[in-house]
Amino acid sequence: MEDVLQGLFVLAQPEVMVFLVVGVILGLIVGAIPGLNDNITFAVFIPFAFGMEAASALSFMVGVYCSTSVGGAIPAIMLKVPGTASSLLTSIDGNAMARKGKAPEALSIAISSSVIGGLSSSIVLIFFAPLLAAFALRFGPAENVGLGILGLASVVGMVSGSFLKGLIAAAFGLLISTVGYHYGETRLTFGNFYFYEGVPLVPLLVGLFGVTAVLELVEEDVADRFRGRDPEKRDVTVRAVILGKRMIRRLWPTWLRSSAIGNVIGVIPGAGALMAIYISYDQARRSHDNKYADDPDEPKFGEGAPEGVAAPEAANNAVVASSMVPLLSLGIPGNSVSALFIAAMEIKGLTAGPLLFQRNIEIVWMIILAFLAANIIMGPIAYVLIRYLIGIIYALPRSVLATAVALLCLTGAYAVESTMFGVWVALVFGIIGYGFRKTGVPIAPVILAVILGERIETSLYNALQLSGGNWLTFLDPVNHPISLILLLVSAAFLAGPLLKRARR
Amino acid sequence: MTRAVGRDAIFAACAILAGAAGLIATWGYVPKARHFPQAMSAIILLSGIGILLMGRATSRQAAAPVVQASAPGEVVPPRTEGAPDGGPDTPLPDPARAAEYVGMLRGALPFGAILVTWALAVSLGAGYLLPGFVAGILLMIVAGSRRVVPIVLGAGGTVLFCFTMFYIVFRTRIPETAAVKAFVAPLRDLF
Repeated sequence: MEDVLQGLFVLAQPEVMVFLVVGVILGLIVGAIPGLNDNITFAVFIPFAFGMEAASALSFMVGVYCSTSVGGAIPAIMLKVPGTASSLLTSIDGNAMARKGKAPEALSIAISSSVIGGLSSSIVLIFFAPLLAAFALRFGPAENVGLGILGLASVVGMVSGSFLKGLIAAAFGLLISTVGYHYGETRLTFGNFYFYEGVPLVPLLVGLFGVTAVLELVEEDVADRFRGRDPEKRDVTVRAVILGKRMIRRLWPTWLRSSAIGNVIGVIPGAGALMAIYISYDQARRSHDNKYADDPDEPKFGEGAPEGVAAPEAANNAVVASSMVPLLSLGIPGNSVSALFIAAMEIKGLTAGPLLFQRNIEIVWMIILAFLAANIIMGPIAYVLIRYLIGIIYALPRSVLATAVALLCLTGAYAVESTMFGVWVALVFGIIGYGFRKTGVPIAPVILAVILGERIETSLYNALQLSGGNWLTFLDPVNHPISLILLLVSAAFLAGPLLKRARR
Repeated sequence: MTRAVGRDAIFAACAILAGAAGLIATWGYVPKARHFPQAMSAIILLSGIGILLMGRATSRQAAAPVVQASAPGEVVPPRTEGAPDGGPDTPLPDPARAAEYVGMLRGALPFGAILVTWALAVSLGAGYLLPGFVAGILLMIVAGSRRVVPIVLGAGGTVLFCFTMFYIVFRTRIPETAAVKAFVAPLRDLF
């Protein structure tokens, strides 16, 4: 209890709360701009973290992370253009509602659902993260190898598209993690002394997320103009209303079911929000079809059903805080956004994982409580500010946005290392990331592998040394049952999608 | 060969080269230092070969003779080399792909090239504000802006915002010339 109060004390500091609120507002704005998302925001923001207190920087990131998906629902509903990938399904029923003149109701459902999903996942984070961290303290080198492989296997196994491309992405990330002076060799430095401490993480992330995204944004805009569409054209007449009791009663089952799905999937590293959204949307569709099949006044699913907005939004925000459970307790990022949290924490000298609960418990609880607070304040802020925000957002030309994001990213990459080396790393990885996107290679496994690589390699050698070079030590059911279980689950994660594709 | 298969082939070739380069570069290291990176290089190389082989199989399937539904049993022979092009069966160019191609050639590639040129200029000691302003103007033109006033205001505002936030407010370093740094020093002392 004392730890919780310490966390609350840190969060209650005016500066920390201001950054949380600013983060929530910025997340709404960024989410509402198609092409921008929380990844880019963090890529731009992380270099600023150098000049800030750890609590302020992390509370800002929590605010952005929680509210981006709500912002993403705005263009999804109004224009059928998802602001973020997670708003893809919201755009189907949400835009259908808007075309029937129910845009305010659709926006309100999106906001309410996001708040409920987010609150439920904050509660999961409060109870599960400390428990899992206490358990993870028992882990030795063999278990750490199993855990690292599980993290990578879950990401590689669940990426859509080619399994081999996912594998290459993970191996590429692990190869990058080996760069630098290790085991008496300067590995893959090519004589450049800047690489002796490894590839700097922040410029790498800024490149893979920020530069890649801005190149895609410009490509989309130029392509849109070529098609004769104006990417600047936006409808700015947006506002939200308070939901009626009848609608709340109707949506409760959907909120509960979708939040539960989002929480379970969010805790699994690499499963990602999209899987939670699709499953909950499908469940909501089945339930809606059963309930309203004989009602001619009720819109069909996909044609403006309120549940079609509530399910993906609740599931999406339920993933947000629950994805922090493996990050805070095990040091494994649940998705690419939480990987950026690790980078920000490293900048402030904090190492995510079970030891964080021993060394910086006040920061752990500050983060956990910040998720709860962000979800509580997000609803009113979104209701009040939505129409003003949209007016401002759509007044800003996308060409200015692209230019600002690009220059902010590269200036930030310079600020991290105070050398142009960081800028070149960001540019090279931005170009690599763009190439990966064009060829359908997922970026998430690269990030996860870069972060976990050193830990996996060191633990691997330590475990082998302790066992006298016995590779079967990882599968020893007597001495390392946890490692065995983790490796079996990893194998299942990899084999599952492969078997599914083979059957097709 | 379809466009997706073509891209896969290029990616596979890059992966094979990268994997081979990784294996060669780590060959002379002491065993403990080389095992892990070599294992990763081998995975990249073998997966690249796998993608290449799968792409070839897909191409062969696509090139195989097709049975026409309207004439049961009749096999349409594959087009022979040198056959006249442009008949009624020749597919029209896909407008979505053309737009994507234009987006890449006129958008992403020049945008990236300007960023690289900006980085070069800053590396060579041209300072931060001036190259940033020029790059900002060019980036906005590539990104679609055509009116002079918004371009100048947007580029100037962006570069000044970056400079103010990083150098003055958060006191991080900026690759600016000594003269400009001395000029804004009193401002920096305010924060």
